[in-house]
Amino acid sequence: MGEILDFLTNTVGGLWNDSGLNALFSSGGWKNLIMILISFVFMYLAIAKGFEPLLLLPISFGMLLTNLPMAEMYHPELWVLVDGHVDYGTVLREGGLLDILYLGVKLQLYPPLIFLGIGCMTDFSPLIANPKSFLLGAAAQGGIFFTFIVAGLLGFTAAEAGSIAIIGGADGPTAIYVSTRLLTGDGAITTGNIALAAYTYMALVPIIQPPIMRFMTSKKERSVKMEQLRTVSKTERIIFPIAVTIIVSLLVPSAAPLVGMLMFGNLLKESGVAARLIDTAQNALMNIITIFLGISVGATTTANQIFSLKFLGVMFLGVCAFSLGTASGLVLGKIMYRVTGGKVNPLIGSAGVSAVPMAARISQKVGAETDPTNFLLMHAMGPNVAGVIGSAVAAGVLLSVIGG
Amino acid sequence: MYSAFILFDKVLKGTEKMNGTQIVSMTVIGLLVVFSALLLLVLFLACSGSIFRKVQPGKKQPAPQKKAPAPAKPQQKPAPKAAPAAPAAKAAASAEDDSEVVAVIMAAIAAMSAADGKQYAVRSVRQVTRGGSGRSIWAQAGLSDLTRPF
Repeated sequence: MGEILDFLTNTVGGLWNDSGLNALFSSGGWKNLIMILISFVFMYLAIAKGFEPLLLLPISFGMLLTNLPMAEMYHPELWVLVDGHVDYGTVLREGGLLDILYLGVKLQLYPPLIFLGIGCMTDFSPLIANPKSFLLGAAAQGGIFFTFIVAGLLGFTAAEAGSIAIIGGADGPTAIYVSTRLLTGDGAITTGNIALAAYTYMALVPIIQPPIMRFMTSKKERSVKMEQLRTVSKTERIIFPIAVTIIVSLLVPSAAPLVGMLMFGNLLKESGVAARLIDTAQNALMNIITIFLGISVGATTTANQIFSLKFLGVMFLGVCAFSLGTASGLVLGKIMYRVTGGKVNPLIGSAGVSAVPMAARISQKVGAETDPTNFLLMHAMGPNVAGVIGSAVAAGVLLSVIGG
Repeated sequence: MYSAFILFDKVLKGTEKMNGTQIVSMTVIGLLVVFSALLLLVLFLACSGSIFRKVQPGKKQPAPQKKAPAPAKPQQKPAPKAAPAAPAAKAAASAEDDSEVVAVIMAAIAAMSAADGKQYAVRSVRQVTRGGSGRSIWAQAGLSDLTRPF
C-alpha cells in the first residue's frame, strides 16, 4: 500500500516538476509571464485594432509559444554562433518546430520569397512614367541613415544600430532580412524585436505621417495639382524589372536577393505569360511564407533577450526612423516643388517610405483634405514603389559595410 | 564601381560600438550609394522613356485613369444629374441646342418618374462649371469614386 502511495506521489511530483506551471512560478518565470502578457497586447492590437493582422498575429502568437516554459518549441541557445557560424546540424537534431521554421529566416529564404509575391502585385508604371519619383524614394531612406546616427550615438553596436535603422525603411521583409544577417543572436536585441517595431509602426503610418506632413508643408504646396501621368507601354514595363535588377545588383550586390526576387515577380506579372506562377507566388506561396516568417520571428522574442532597456530603445528609435524618413522625403519633395516651379506636390515625398500602399494613401488623403478635387494617389505610388527598391539598396549598403 | 565597394567591405565590426567618424561616414556613404543607384535608374528610365515616346508617337492615348470610370457612370449617376435639371424651370432658353443630349436626359428622367410615379420636364440645360480642376464632372465623379476606398 505504502509502495503504491510512494509511486503516486513520485509520479505526480515528477509531472509537476516537468510542467510549465512549475517553471513559470520558479525563479525567472515572471519574465516569461510578462512576455506572455506583452504578446497579449500585440494580439489585441492585431485583432481588435487591425494593426497589420496578417503579420502581427503570427508574430505575437509565436511570442506566446516561445515564452511557455518547457514547451521546447524554440531554443535560442541553438542559434548562438559557434566560431562565427550557427551549428545547423544541432539545430536539425535538437530543434523544435519553431527552430526548424526559423531556419528559413536565418538562411534568408523567406524575405526574398515574400518580395517575389510583392513583385507580382506591384505596378511600377507610375514610377516608369515619372522617373523623378525614384529620387523621392531615395530621400525617404534618409530615415534609415539618420536613425543610424542616433542609434550609434546612443551606444548601440554597429550591428544593432544597422538593424534598428532599417526599421526606417518601413519594409518588414527588408528589416527582417537585415537584422537576421547582422544580429548574432546573443545580444539584447533580436530579429523579433525589430520585426515587432517595424510592423507596429507600419500599422501606425496613418497616425505618424499626417501631422509631420501638415507641419512641413504650406497649404499652397499641399494644393498643387500634378499633371496626369503618361501611359506606359507594355515593352517598357517588361524592360523595367530586367534593367533594375542588372543596375542595382551590379552596384550593390548584397541587395540582389531582395531586388532580384522583387523584379522577378514583377517580370512574371508584366510578361503576361505566366498567370499560374503569378497566382501561386502572390497567393499560396506568399501566405505560407508569411505564416512561417511571422510565427518563427515572433519566437525569437524570448524573455531573457527582450528583457532590457534596449527593447524600449528599439521601439523609440523605430518611431524616430519612420518620422525622419517621412520628413526627409518631404524635404526633397519641397525642393522639387521649388525646382519645377510648383509642378510637384511635396506631399508625394512622404510616400517614399516604402509601406506600400499605405504611405501613398496617406499622401492622397492629406492632399484631398486640402483640396478635395486633388488626386495624388497615382503620383504618390511612384515614390512609394521606388521606396521599396530604395530600402532594399539601403539594406544592401548596411550589409556590405557592417561585418559580423 | 564594384572595386570601390570592396574597399569598405565590412569595415565596421558588428559587435563593436562605433565612434563619431565611423557613424558619420557610414551615413554619408549610405545616402550617397542609395542616391547614386536610384539616380542611375532615373537616367536609364528617362532615356528609355524618351526613346519609347519617339518610337510610338501615334499611340498617345487618353490616360487610363480617365477611361476607367467611364463604363461605371450610367448606372451610378443618373439621379444627381437629372434632379438639378428638373427644378431649373426659370431659365427656359437654350434647350434646343443639343436635342440629343436632352433626349438622353429625358430618357433617364422617364425611367425615374416611372419609379416614383411623378412627372418631370426638362426646361433648361446649362453647362456645369468645372471648378478649376480641368476634369469633366463625370471624370471627377468617377475619380472620387475610385479613390474613395483609400
